[in-house]
Amino acid sequence: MKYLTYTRAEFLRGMRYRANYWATLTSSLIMTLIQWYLWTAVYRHTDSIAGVGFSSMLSYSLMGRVASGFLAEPANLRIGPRVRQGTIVHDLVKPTDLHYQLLFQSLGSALFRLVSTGLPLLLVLLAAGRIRFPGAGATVAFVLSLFMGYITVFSTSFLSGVLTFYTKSGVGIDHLYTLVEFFSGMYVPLQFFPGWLRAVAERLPFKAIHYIPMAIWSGMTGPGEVAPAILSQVAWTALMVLLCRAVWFGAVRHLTVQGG
Amino acid sequence: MNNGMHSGIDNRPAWDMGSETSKRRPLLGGILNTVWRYSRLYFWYLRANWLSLMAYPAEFVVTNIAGLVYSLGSVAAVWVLFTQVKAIGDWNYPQVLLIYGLSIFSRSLFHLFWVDLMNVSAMVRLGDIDRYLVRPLNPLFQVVAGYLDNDDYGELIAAVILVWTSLGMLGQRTVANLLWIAVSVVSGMLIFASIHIVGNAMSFMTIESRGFTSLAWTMDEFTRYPADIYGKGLRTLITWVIPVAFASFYPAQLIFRNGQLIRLALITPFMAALTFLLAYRFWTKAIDRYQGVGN
Repeated sequence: MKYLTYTRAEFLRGMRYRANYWATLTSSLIMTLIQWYLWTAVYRHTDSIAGVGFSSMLSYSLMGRVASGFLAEPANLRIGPRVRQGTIVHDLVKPTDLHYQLLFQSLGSALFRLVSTGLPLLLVLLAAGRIRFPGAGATVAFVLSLFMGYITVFSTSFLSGVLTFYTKSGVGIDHLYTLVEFFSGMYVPLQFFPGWLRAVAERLPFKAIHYIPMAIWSGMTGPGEVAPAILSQVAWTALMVLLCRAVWFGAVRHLTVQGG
Repeated sequence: MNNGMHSGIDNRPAWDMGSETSKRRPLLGGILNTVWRYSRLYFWYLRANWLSLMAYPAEFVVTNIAGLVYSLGSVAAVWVLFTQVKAIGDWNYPQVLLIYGLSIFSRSLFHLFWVDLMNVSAMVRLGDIDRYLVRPLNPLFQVVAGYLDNDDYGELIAAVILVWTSLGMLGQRTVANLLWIAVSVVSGMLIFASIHIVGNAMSFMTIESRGFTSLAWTMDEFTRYPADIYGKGLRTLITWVIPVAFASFYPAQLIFRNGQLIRLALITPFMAALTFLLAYRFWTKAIDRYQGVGN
């Protein structure tokens, strides 16, 4: 598949910028430590919060840190600038589709972040005995869920980027990204939300980014609930991809590039 | 160019009037004169920066409303947590909110006024910093005064809301406390600035310092939550080595009337001044060793 070449190229590009590798690794270690101490302090007076025990919460949160690079907001889609500068015509005449191209390109840098910082962090946590693998079934479901999570992350940014076609403003989803993170369950799992807010979160696609994979990993999603959770994530992911296609084709049809 | 060339006609810009008189004054007068000169300069820099921000007022407003929402988005997590538990460690909801509020207050002040500090390593790489070094003005002043950030006003408003609300919940909304808040957020700003001054000064010696810069960013994260939840080693680190705990946790103790930590609370401004002086010393030493990148 030709698009995988983009993934590979982007992954290899990551390897060329190794100068700050130690800093990135130290930063992610610090963030993990903060999470560990925070949840330890939260659970000092209680054994269970909204039915979530300490070890389950810790595994949700620590695995969240391991995957955070992979599930990070894609940094340089640059859809708005492409339109403003008119370079988008170069993308449109190529025998590739810009939507798929960016999807696979960003996957390359996400995979690079996963391998370069996520993996060492996972090894440290395993060695320190702070994280344990769930059963084989849950692990497979988790990996599957993680990839769908990536597609949702990408689609969110892509949609926001395409919307700047219409709004012609520099303000996009990256300026409101804490809301996406909040509703994805990155800060606190969705069980902790008050009823009405949980209902809002359930109707948004963002739970597929963080909550569904981490809940599977940590066992918050019981063995019997994994299959329905994955199925609902498949549905949400498909919906997001279709939405991207629709908005993207609509935008291309309306596109006017000045000058050039 | 025109020094002494046009006798009788003084065509220096308004802000530079009278600056050379300091040479004839005694020490104290010299210092006062320098302070006066830099204050006026800063005013003119600030005015120019503000006017350039106001070139796109609609974009400015939208960006900062988004900034306000962005900050409140992360605070929402604290709120949700406290719908479930009564305390994080030994600290209750209003206390955690105040610490969180002081943290983003200090940080947004730092971003607002010092943001161009983050570009020093890029300036060094491209050789742009040399322009600052040859002017008869303090280079750090030029870096800091040269740019006013456009998107921190929303975060600043969020911080004010948080601090005001939590003070109300604590029943501590007094004038004295508000003055103390002012002292502590300026101290916090200086502490953050010091860390980034050191991080960026590295680029004068090694040219490549983006690693230190990104690590300096991460240190902010420690200030969001009460510092005593961290282990002993980490707590010592953020109190005495990279004293970010003085940007939120310790100054808040004075408001809590916490007898045990009140002495640490009271030294906040002195810690900030000391950290800043050390960082500034590091910066000037680093500049002395700077040889340019040769382009």
